[in-house]
Amino acid sequence: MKYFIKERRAFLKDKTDISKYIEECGERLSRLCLNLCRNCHDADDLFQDTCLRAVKYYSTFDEKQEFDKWIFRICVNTYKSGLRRLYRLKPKTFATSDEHDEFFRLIPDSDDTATHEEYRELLETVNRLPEKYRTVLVLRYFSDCSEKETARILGMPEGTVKSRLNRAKEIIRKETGRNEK
Amino acid sequence: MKNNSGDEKLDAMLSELFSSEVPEDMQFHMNEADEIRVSVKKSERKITGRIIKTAVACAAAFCIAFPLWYMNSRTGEESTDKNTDSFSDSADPDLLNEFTESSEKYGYDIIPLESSRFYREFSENPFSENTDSPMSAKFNTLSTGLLLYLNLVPYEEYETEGKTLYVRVIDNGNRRIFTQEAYLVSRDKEGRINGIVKTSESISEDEEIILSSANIFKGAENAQAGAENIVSKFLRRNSEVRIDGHLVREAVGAETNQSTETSSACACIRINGELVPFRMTEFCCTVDKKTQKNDDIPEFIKTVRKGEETKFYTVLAYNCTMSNSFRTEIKENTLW
Repeated sequence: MKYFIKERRAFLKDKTDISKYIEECGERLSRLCLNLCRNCHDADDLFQDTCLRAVKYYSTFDEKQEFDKWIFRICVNTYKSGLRRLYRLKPKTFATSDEHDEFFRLIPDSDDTATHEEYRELLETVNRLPEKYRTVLVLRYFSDCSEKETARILGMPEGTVKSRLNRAKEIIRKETGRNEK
Repeated sequence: MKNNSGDEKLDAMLSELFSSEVPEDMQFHMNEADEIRVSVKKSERKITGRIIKTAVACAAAFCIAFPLWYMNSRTGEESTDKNTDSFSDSADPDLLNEFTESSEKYGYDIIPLESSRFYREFSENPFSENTDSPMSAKFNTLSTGLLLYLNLVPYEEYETEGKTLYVRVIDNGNRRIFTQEAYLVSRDKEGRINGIVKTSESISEDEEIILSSANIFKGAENAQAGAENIVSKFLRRNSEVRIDGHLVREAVGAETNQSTETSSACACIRINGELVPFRMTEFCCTVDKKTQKNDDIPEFIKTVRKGEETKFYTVLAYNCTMSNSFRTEIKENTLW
């Protein structure tokens, strides 16, 4: 019984700490969930599942680590685990046209880099990428993580991240090039 | 995107695409603490329950397993293949679900497997003339070789007897291509799946299956010509067969009987991360004559000498190019 009381106290203390941390990286975590799921409802589910897991395993969190990288890793693992199936069940990307418009509002408008149409084309191509390439791509670019950091979050060798990134870009180049023809 | 777009542009676009800040109204927030507490409390209870359940299960398993183990050790029975059988008794629900979903979408070749012992023997000597083995004449060497070549039969990890291999195939009506995606399935007496393993899990994406340079013919034309060249060398009975400069078979002469057979199958492998369909052709030449042993015959040609007969056997892999590849016809490859 003493064990559970101690655990409970520790949990309540942890809970306060983790809420603060989650709030701090909430925007980036939301973005990661949205980028992974491509659907607001599923992304919200993923976000909540990630938080739940983070609270549950917070006692294992090493304070020397960066919290955001730790929770991003949980998020990716949650997505990749059995839950991923649930997030992928709906083949339709957007539930409503409002959601569709809202989502595309996030895509940058025409700027010096590319036109709106090019961004849209890129997004569609990225969405068609095999899961393993897309996950690496999202993680690498959503928070400007280095390849080393991406590898650490995904728990895979840096070389694999590099090769997957290269392969993903290669596919994108090929696809976007082909579409234009 | 323009064709001449550089890496920098793509990098910048990807960065813009994924790193655009999510507006406040679209951000998610952690649900009320109570909900999480309840979930955590439940999980704590579950853990306690699990510990008790596990302890009871372990005790029960020990009570059953110990007498069996004791009796086995007393009788001195050896369990050779069973040592390798770590095939789960219960089907992983996620994998099962994936398998069910996948089976609705893709075609499979369903291959009942024999004992792991056979595959071990086969991998050591694909052209064994061991008549003591009841399975030696039973299998088509090409398809068995192909399955092993693609690492689809996990004969080193699992006892495969009585289990079924479901290999995904790509079929365009004219050609069927084996892929490296496969499930090893076991069923109970009522036919329900009680164990499932995704064999391709052991194949990492970056793993290269290195075909020896001697038996790859690059390009469609070279492939055809290369294989025909080898076959035609054997067909010329009055001249010796030399491959890579090494004497493989001396001239057999008109009075000696010789028969040749070829058969083909297609498969997909990954080479440098690229999915490459290729064709394998099995070639077998039987000479009714005991030929001279030659130690420096290329490794890809197996030679079996038995009595007054010699068999030369090889699998020739044809590396496909995009022009002759079925892959170009796949609009959207969702398998990888």
